[in-house]
Amino acid sequence: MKKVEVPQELLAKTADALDEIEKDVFGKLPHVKTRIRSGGCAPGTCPRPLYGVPPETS
Amino acid sequence: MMSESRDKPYLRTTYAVWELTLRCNLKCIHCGSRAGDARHRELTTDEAMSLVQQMAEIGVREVSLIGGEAFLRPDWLDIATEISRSGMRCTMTTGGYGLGPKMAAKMHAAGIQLVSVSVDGLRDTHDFLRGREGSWQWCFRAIEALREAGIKTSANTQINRLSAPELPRIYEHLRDAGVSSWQTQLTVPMGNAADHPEILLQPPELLDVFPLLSYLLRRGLDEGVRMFPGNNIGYFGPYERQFRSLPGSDGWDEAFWTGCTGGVLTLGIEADGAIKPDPSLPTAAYTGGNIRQKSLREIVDGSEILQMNVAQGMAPPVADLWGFCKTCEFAGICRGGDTWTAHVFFDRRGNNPYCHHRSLFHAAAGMRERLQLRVHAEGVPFDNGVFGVLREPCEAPWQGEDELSFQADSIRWPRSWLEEEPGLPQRLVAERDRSVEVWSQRRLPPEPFPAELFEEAAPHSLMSFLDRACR
Repeated sequence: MKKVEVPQELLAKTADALDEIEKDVFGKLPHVKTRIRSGGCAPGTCPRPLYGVPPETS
Repeated sequence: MMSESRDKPYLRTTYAVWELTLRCNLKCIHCGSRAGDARHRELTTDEAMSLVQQMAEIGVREVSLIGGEAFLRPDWLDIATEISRSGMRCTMTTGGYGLGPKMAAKMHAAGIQLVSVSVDGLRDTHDFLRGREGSWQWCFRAIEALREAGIKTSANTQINRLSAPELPRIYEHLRDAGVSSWQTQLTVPMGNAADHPEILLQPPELLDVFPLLSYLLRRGLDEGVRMFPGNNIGYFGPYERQFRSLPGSDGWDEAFWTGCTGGVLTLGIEADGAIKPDPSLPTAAYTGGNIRQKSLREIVDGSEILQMNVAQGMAPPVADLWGFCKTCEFAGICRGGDTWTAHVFFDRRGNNPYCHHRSLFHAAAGMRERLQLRVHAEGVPFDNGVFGVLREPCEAPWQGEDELSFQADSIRWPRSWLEEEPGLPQRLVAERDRSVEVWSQRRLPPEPFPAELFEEAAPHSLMSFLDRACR
């Protein structure tokens, strides 16, 4: 199937905004440690569940 | 905690969800497809087998069988066997009613790898929503039978005003039943649910739902239940990355919502061969073709609606957005959140009222949104009505049908959890209030706010809907 390209600068900007939100609400970044600026799931590597069937994790 | 092997995510590539039949043995009042009787002219066995081959040829890697109730189709195990034999992962979603040890053994032999059982509340709520007494008990019988047959089990739960207060106790039942994962999604007004707006959460109620989901997700990580908030749970609130990411041995990955993937990663197939970008999307507006007229490849590559998320790309400006979503700070990456949810409220995609950022935004501005049904749905599978949005002060009293209103103090906590942490309910309320405070301080744009942020349900939606209904 097709591939959707996500502009890196948009991903980075969003990640920065989420950093700010998490720091403001929780006082720290509790959910992020990898610091990889890859943003959302790339097509083909997305763990998003759909229609009741969560992705396999093992 | 998570084992090393479970840290490695299954990599989903292309994913088809196939409604094998619309026939069903339950009568759910929130059923999007209004299942019950079989569709007129469902695919024959030969047509179904051909479709399996076509899916394999275009690169589908996983096929989830749904219904109605998929196992009511007599040849369903032959189809499942062919899916497995063709190298695709075969999974299933079921209501579980009537699924016992014999059937589970046959499913295992057919290569079905994972089954998600729908559990929509505690016993009374589930049986009410599912329209059949005893259906809750069957869920857990089915889970046990599947586990004993060697099939991995998960569960899925609709979140609405009836089930939301029960989520912690539902979680306990699922954990104790040994399910490995749990998907949740917000009930939206499609099909039968469009006839029951009173059970739908109102946008400000999301402010109390999200901290609860975050808590359950974290608790599940420690207790072996992986919770996956579904695609219509988001967007860009303080839990966005937690909901979207997979925890690894060195911390959480940094995933967040990057827009609808219907037609890009997913395909929906209706029992009569209609192909949609996503299984939940309304039939009338999103069918790209039928495999009785064209090959699957032709539909996937050539249909305009199957390309809706490809043609649009990910970069702003984003043509389909309107209303609040049009000028939202996350518009370019979010693209209106889940297409299905946005469309079934307003009969048009691109403006999504079920959004954490949006609810926080309004609360920070001292307002809230209330969704009101304006045009009823037709009464056919995968249909929707049209809602309007009222904006009112946060402190305005709820009215009439809102006696079901959900708030933090509606949550039925297990006693043992409160013994562990007596201040748990208060902690989550404080987290909610802190989020509103942060939005008030940091995320409201300078006044005057853009007019689009407060645009009513577009007259375009109502007019196009009425025009279609009259034809």
